[in-house]
Amino acid sequence: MVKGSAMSLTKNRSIEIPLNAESYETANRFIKQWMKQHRFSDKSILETELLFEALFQDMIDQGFGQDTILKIKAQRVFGEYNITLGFEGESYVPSMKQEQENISPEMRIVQAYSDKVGYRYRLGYNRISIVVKRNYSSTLMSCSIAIVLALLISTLLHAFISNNELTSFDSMFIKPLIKQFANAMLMIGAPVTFFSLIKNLTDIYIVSEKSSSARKLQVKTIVTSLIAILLALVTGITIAIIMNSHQGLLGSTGSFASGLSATEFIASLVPSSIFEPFETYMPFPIIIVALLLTYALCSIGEYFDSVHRFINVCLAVFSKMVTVVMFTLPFFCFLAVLSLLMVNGTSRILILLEYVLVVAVSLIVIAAFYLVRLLIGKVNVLTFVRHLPTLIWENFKINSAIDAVPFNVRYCSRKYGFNRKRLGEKLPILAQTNQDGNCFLIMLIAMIFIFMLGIEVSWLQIAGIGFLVLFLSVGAPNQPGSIVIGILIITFYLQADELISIAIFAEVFFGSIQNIINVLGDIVTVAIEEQKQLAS
Amino acid sequence: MLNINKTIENGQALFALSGRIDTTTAPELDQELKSSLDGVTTLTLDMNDLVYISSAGLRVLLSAQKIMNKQGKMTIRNANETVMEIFEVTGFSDILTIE
Repeated sequence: MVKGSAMSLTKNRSIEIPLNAESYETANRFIKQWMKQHRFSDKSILETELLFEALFQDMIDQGFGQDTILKIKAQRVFGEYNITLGFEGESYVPSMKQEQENISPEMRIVQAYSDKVGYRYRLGYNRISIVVKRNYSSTLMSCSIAIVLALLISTLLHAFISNNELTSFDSMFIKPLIKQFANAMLMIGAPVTFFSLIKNLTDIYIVSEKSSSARKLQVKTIVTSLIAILLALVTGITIAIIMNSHQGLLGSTGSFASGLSATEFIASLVPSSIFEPFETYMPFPIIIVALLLTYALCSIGEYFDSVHRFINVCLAVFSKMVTVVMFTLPFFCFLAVLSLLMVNGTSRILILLEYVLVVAVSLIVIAAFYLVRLLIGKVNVLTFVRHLPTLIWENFKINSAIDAVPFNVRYCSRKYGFNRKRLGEKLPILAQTNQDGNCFLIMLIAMIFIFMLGIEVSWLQIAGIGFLVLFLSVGAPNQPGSIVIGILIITFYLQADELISIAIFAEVFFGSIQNIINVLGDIVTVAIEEQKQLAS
Repeated sequence: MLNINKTIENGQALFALSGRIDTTTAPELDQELKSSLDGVTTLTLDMNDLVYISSAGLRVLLSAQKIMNKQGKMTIRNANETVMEIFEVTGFSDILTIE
């Protein structure tokens, strides 16, 4: 018995069918008609059909049987087109996530298109969504609106309220509010970085133990991340010299980072209690505890699986908390801009925008680095670049290198002709290990603002920051918020509260870009490896 | 809708498939194959007019491949771009013999 929301199937946005093989045809027809109505391509319809049928069949195979009523909703939500399958019962877990030796054809399809599927289970109700077309709205758009609003409101405020009152209002209310955002991000960012670092390092260890080629790939990506840090350092110094800003635009904070002497710095490396790093947010103790725990985890033997699962769960929970806090980014972006405008007028904003532009232009350095790698690897650059726009655009929408792996495998094998099996082996490793974008951007922004603040740093301290950036990048959560967490941790380390607003703006303007650079780095590496295979 | 055109001669079976193999039509193909493979040493599936194959269809092919591995060989022929894409995405291009 089929229930629809209107008489004609073509106008239905949802139908309800019993979950059995006989209902498949009706469900498939509903989905196809809806997609044709919205003029989706044949390819898009094919992929959705394949995925829907695979999930449908897997649900039946798992015993969500005759009594289950499946509600299929075809909808457009905030620009995203998706098909949602809803049903009551036990939590549905696709068979591939369970322990299975042989993967069924259904799960091969779900795995190949896993970037398009989302699973939710709440209060006894399953919701599985198949993304047909992703939306392209981003935080940048809402933050741009926030900036414009702040400009308008500050203009109005300056017209009616005196500068002294505005400054007082800013220091009493706005700055403390902005600090709360930083506190929230640090409070969650420290455990996220901690668990992400352990997870990533453990996964790197597991993969490298299995295969020497995987180990070589990991070493290559760490080397490229180090090169990205060095490039950022050189670019930062060059920018400072060109812009003559190393005099200290916002004032000097002294001779050693975070106001610690060398003795105090060494004494603070190892915490006196396991919880201390999460109270003090000092990055080096967090890294040291994470490294110790990673080593212990990899040597623990029979308890490895349960502890590894616990760490994955903790990371998932804290990552969700980051996602929730990041929803408030446009609001705090508004406050940060308002604060700057209220106290300093447009001059400070213009300086900030100038630096944003400089950082944006500096991305040419990392692009040139990839170009040189492609040329050395004898990859046809024109062919490579021709297919990049669609790849970059889709990755911009997905906004996570790990989540985008299935899409990147499909796209690169189809457009570049790369071997699908090798892509399926290499891209997940690269997505996890390669953090060129994080390394370059966080190091560059940190260096530029060290010079802006006039902090006198020695080469040893710069090396320390480079080391910190490398580990923060390995520990970066693979989601929006990683830039702001990285810079906030460095901010805290340098005890430079002025950088809180910088962290917010860095995330707004460069959050998506760091992911794109990470993905580009992955694809460049794969292109070079494929070229080597062809040559041999 | 699936059309199966079957020819069996001297232990060589040729199945010309046209239309779609999905949840609805896969049981029909499975039935035809299982009832026809006794004594067959070479099975060829001509997919020239096949426009779509789903996970259900892949299951049927896998099942036929297992049977033919014991008694001969199975070959897929003339798969179009769409079907080949599905074989490649699922890794079936490594499992099946495709010409």
